[in-house]
Amino acid sequence: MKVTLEWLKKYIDFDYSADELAHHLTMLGLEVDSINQIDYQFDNVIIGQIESIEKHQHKPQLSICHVQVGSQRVSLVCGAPNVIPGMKVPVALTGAKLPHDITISAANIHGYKSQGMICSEAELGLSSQNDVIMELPENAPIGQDLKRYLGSGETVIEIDVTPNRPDCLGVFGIAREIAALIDSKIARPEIHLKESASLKIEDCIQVDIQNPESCPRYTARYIQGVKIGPSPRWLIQKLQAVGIRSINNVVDITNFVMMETGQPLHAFDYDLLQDQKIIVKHATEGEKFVTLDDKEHTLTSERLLICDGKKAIALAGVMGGVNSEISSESRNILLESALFNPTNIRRTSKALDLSTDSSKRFERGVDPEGMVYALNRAAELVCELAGGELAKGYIDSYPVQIPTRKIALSIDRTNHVLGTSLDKATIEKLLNRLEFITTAKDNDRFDVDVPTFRVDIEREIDLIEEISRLYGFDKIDSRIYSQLPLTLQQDPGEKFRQLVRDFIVRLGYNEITTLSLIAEAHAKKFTIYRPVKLKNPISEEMGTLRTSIVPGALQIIKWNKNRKIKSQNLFEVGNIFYFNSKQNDAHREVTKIALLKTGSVRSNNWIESSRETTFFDIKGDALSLLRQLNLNHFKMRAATVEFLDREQSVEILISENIVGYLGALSNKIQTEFDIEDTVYVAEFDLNALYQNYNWEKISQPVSKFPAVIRDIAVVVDQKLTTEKVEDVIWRAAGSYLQKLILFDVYRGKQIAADKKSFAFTLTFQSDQKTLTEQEVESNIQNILHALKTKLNAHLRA
Amino acid sequence: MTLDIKEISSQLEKLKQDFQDDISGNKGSNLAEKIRIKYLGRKGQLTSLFALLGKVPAADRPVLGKQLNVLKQLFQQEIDKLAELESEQPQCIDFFDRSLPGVTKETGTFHPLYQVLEEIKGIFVSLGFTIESGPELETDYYNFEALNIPKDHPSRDLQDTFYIDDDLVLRTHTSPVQIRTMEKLKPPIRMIAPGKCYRKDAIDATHFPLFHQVEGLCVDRGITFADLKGVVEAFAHRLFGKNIKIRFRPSFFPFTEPSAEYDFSCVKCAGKGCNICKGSGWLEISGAGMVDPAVFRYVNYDPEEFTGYAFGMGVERIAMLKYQVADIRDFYENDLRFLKQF
Repeated sequence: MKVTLEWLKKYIDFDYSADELAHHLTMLGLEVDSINQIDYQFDNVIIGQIESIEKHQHKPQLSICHVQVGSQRVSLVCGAPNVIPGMKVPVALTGAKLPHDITISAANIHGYKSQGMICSEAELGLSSQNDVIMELPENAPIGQDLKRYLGSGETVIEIDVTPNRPDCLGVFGIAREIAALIDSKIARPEIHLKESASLKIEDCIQVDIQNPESCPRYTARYIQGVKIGPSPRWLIQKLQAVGIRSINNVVDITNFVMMETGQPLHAFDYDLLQDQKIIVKHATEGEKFVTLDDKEHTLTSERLLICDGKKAIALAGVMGGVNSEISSESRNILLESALFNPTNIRRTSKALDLSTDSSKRFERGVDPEGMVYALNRAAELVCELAGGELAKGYIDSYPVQIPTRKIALSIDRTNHVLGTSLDKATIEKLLNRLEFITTAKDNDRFDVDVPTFRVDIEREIDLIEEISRLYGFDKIDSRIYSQLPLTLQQDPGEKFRQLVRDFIVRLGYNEITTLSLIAEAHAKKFTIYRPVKLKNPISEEMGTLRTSIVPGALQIIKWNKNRKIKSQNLFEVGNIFYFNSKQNDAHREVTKIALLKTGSVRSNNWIESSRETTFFDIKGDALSLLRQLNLNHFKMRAATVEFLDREQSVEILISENIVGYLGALSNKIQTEFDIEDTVYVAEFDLNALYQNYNWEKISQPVSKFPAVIRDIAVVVDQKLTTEKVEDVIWRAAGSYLQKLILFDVYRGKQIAADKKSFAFTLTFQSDQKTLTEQEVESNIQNILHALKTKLNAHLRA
Repeated sequence: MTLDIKEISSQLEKLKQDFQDDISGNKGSNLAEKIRIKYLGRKGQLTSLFALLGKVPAADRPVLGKQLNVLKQLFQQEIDKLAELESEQPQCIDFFDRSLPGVTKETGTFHPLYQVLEEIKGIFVSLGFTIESGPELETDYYNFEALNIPKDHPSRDLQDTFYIDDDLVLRTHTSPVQIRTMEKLKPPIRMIAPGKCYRKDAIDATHFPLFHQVEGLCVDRGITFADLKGVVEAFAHRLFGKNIKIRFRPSFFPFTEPSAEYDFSCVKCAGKGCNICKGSGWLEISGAGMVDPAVFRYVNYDPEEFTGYAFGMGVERIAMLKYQVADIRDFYENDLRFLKQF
């Protein structure tokens, strides 16, 4: 809501500067967004008087005006029809500046040298009026700078009015707030109407409200013989200052009064109405209607229409119809000032995607007692600016009275909510300043009459807010903890999440957080379920909820790669979404942990050279994480997901449930995301890990006896997996084997082509005794025997 | 003929001295091997002394044997050490460049937003708040209805919402967790709900469709606006220091009444006015207020018996102030050069 300092001062006298006012309004809940002085966009334009006019020799539509500008007399070519001798006009001489960066220079116009130009309001950027020269008052001093003459522009204050304060969508409302601040009252302009003696409203129009629940009140006036034309400059400038474009005098007046009072008005061309009737009723299903903006709407029966005897003429409270629009030919007009149901207007505005100054006010609620004032105010201005004869009386159809509100307020309750100790007199005074009328009931309670313009005040708590707001939040002393802290029951899931993030950071990963909205095509590739799509996305690229953290994280990998960062370890913990077709298509939201690794595992340095990341690095990191979390009873098997490489991938199971997967991305995905270097990923379900996590940790004694370490190398069939060999070793070894580490895998000339060699380090230890040479040796023999018989493996020579 | 053990001992002393001179002297390459041959070789000086064992009195033999063995071990160790040095770093023997770079490891980092979030959580936990959570995909009821934001009400326009269908939305704030927590527990309640929220905002330096919010709620008998001010001040002082001033001004939220916006005095210019606070000296942080009685009715709390306050804050906003990040998009670009600064 824009308002000017000068406009406010018409109704309330105050001494605040614009900055002070902005501060006070903000502290009262009317947050001021900006303060702007309107600047004229022209320079060096002076006031001149036309002395004589002659016709251009070749172009009769042009005239040559001889203009006195004080120090000199100049001759200017002018094409406007309204120039007459004696007229005071704005003159832009050579060197003057006009809007749109125009600098005036002497010009040759059809053989005639013009030393400048006489300006219209449009040329000066003052209004849109461009067909006539701007006429200045007779007393305007010749030769004076126009800017100095007009005075400085108005100061526009833009206020962010919260949805609960429709009363502040009018200048009156904001003036009332200032009045409350300085303990004063606003002065609304008094209205003096000259009504016709013969022309009576009831002879001109009949109003029938068929749906009073949607239109509780309808008032109207009729004015005959108006002259539609441009608005005077003051009106144009007022509207322009608050962001409304001038249309014509009558429409401008309805907008001006709306801005002033907060009550939206509408003017119909009376001669386009049939049967001298206004009928307010709901549309018939499928009815079509063309609004002022030339858009055709198909309506449902919920939409409320203003109709004449035959047809719809306005979409009630939202926008008028093109079929009854005020035009330059309009002579007789009907002014409407009505009250519509806020919910109905809002639904219409939303359904038709049509939000107007009018609908914005109606959907928030307008003063049910304010519409007659607004109607009369508009009628007065029309008569003043557009002439015409005002019919005697006005229509006021008010089928359902809107009750005034009386609310009981307790002083105790007020102080109890605010933490204050305000006394009765203080509270009463605060409310009175806001135009609430108080009647004391007993020592603790008031009856409070709510002014009709405060449609937002319905309950005691609303009054308490009013009191606190005017009293000032800064005057309420803060209190720190009168109570002891509660016994904390912190959510263990939250703690687990932090634990996991801690471990991953220790593994050298950088945490990222990515947008959960991704392209549908990407979402589909990382799930077997139906992705969750947005009904109203910003764009297709952000149209679907992620089904995995990986696609979003791949965009980050790409971003960094494009910035020459080749090696990346990234992780994110966050939620993914899908519809579960197995459970009635219910939507699911699951927290995942994703690790992504690409590039080299360590950078080149002067001692060691770098090494590219492999499958076994992501596998190792995943294992480290699981072991840190004491989750040792997991299994791995070949993964079946399509986005991973068919060989370099596994899924991880705990108690037969898949809890995650890891591996290299498939070539297809790599190509699709346009990433050259292989990206290795691991993704776990946080909750599944949490379910298997044991918070209890019980210490194990460490052995006091020495460990014996032996290396063995065995040659096995090339296709045998490490897992199988290790399994045989563990089973054959007995309880002394504590650790088994594969430290070499060899294939080459020294062994047969279909064989490979595994070298293990075995650590034997007992927590009962020092192992003897013989005990260890017999263990080794058992192992070798088992390897030979079960896997046909033999000791490498 | 028997030999005097004392005489042999002094020979051993001499031998040890010679050995040490040899080994610490600088006599060209392959020194370790040369010294080994000289002392421990088949005809080496120490080896040959073992032959003397048979020529001392039987009683002295163990003593001498021990002395010889100790010396042999010492020689062997010294030679091994030298050999190792020779084989590994022949170039460093004479000059150790201590300025060669240390071999560093890349450590991981937490995202700056989550570092700030953890700090916020820590402060509230220490003030006696619990941490609660709720889904990001939320129903219309929890995100709006139960927070006193009815359908067809203009207050819905305060937030541009992403819809999945008529009933399912991406939550626009973490306030629904208030409702979920009140449904679950009876007062007293003191909780914060941190989490992701979504709004259909055009992306610019201060708007991103995804952001993180921390919602706070306290409900008990006798809770007042003064308590709200107290807790927000305590939080601000813990996060930004004792000199921060806090300003409450009236505002509107459907689920609080009275409603307030709270501002902190500018963390950069201390209220004098600068580019961060746009000259005003104040930074808008977020909204707060006393829980609206209408909200209590949705969760079957008696508004006559209980009062409460609620407040919110944007984690991005606070992180931007704390780290002087000018553009919210920096947090979501996840440029490693940015992330590794934290």
